[in-house]
Amino acid sequence: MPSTEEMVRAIRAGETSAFAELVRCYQRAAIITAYSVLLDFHLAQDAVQEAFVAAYQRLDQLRDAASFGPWLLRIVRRRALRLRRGRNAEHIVVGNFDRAESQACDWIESYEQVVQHIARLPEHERIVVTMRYLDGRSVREIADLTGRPAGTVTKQLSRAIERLQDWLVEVQ
Amino acid sequence: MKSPTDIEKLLEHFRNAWPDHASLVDRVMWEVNTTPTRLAVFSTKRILIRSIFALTASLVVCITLWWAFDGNHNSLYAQVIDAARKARTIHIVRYGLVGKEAPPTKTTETWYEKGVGFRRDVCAGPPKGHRSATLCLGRGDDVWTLDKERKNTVIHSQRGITKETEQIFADFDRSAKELRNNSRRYPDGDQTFDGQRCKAYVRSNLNLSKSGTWRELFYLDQQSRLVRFVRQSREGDRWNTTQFNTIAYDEPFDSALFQPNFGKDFKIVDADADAKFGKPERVNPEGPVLIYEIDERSRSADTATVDLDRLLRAVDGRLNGGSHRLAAIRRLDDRRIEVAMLHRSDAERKRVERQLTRPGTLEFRLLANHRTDASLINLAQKEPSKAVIRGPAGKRLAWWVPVKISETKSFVRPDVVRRTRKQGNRDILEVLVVADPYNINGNFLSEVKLHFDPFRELGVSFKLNEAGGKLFNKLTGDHLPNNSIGLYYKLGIIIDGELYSAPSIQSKIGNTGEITGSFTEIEASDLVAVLNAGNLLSQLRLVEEHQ
Repeated sequence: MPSTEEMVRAIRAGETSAFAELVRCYQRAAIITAYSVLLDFHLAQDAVQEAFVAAYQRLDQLRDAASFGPWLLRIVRRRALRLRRGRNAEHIVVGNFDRAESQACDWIESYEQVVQHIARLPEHERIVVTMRYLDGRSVREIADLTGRPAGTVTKQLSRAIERLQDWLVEVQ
Repeated sequence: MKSPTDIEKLLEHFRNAWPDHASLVDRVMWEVNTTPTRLAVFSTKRILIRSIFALTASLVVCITLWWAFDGNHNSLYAQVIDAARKARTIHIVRYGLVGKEAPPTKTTETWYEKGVGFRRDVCAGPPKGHRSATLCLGRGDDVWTLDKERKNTVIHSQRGITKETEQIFADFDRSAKELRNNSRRYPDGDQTFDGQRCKAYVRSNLNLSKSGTWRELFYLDQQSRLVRFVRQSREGDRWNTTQFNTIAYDEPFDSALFQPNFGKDFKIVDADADAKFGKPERVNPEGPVLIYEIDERSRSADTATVDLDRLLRAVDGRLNGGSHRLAAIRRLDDRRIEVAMLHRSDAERKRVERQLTRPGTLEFRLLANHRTDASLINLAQKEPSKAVIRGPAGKRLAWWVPVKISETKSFVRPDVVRRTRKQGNRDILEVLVVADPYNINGNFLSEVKLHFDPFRELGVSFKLNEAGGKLFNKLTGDHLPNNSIGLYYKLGIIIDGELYSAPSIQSKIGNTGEITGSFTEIEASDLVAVLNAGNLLSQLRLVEEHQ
């Protein structure tokens, strides 16, 4: 699988289709980031769509191609905040994730909390967590994608789990 | 307590519950393919634009430098401005002449002493362009303005006297430009003031208009300092003086001049508090409104209003000094403040509480070292129940500091003196730090900001003031590594009583540094806000909450 850096280079060289792969890799991390600000899944999707298009258009401004992920998440957050400022309070629709309750995890009230806590993670940890647990990628694949050693990815994953463990216990 | 496996299982389940969003890739790609992109033309066009911009900027800089240093060098303009800027004190008295025979009347008198203060007395009614203040007094950051409209009221603010001093130098600048551009030497007008022969320069509209003719005379002493300015109008063959200013430099001033002695009859009103915290802000808070009260036990004996103002500023800094605003703050009375949260969010609610309850302290301490602190380590290990190890006179010699939960893995190394303490059902990792004579803490901070390290990980960078910088330099200089015996020291960065990181000291460090650690964006931003805002002076207690 090509790394993020290679995909960014390919897009810069004019290969637009490589961008679709980038969107596939980072969409969940982006949606979680936008959702934590907007609390509405559809609005979050809109913000993410805008952010991806903006990222594509400004790809020439990204100095380090390997840091595409954190860079994208910062754009997503800015777009989401802008969208939140421009919208009326009565349009808030809270809890798109509530419907998807699971009996296996009855100690959690709703997935809403999970999203909020994943969004609190540092950008690099948020990316590896979504890739590992929401996209179902292996550590090796994530390491290839992010261009980091597998050991670093494992460390970031365990740090993120430790944080989530801590935060979710606080909620309980 | 849930195990990591439970968390992993929860995330796996969450994956199945993820709403369908398959169309996102198609939507993005459709937009990307239909929107014209700048990517293809980027390299050449952008480089060209940047080069043109750089060339223009260099040209502008060159012209400005020439204009500033060469164009006016030794000119009349530069001499007049330099004299004013270099003066230790400036005393300007402005006189007006109402009638032909009437003696000149003092209208305003201004004193300025570099680094000390500023005072302007309006003597005969407010001159044009001035507000109705009869006195403006500034010393350091404090400014007192006597308000004629509100009888016996003095408005106090801490905005500093920059505005007033800039006004003085702007007046000099204007006069000097008139001298340079529109005036000519007028030897017949030369006069002697205070025993010094002064050169006269004149600017007039004599040749332009026959009626309403006026002229302005500038007098420069032998050191090219502007010492007098006279404005005259012509009636028939005579020139009548309508206004004149006298300017004296480097006069010694009485120290009482800048003292705010207004007498008992005057009431002092705090303008900053009125402007910033007295009135509700023009925001539409969506979140809950929290009312905090000063905890009486932590409150200082004198309950002066200024203390609450400082507290409000610190609260404002902590809540709104980060990446985005959390709340609108205002004073309710001399004990309570209102925090109106801008957004309805549990995470932000917790963040506000955390920001207002955390101490906001920063310390730099050396970690105990097996080679140099062996006796202290022995003492500490002999008495594991003690958190602090004290000397015979009760002096604190070393103490255990808990490690920030997300950083514990970095400290599980043989060279770090550590222990694990049970707290409830959690294990807390603690490391031993030793007392040092430097006591470098948050009081020495001059600037704190967000920072990205070379690996694009978020951290916090700080700058210490001069005193702090010297201590930091000495601390690091005295604990350089000795490679021949493998001795090196670790400097612990302790925030709110938790160890964040402990880099090894490799060389002398000046007044800047970085705090690394795996920060979330919010953690880093909050930390910056707290360290910049400083202590809250007294503790706050949440007494009321409503939507």
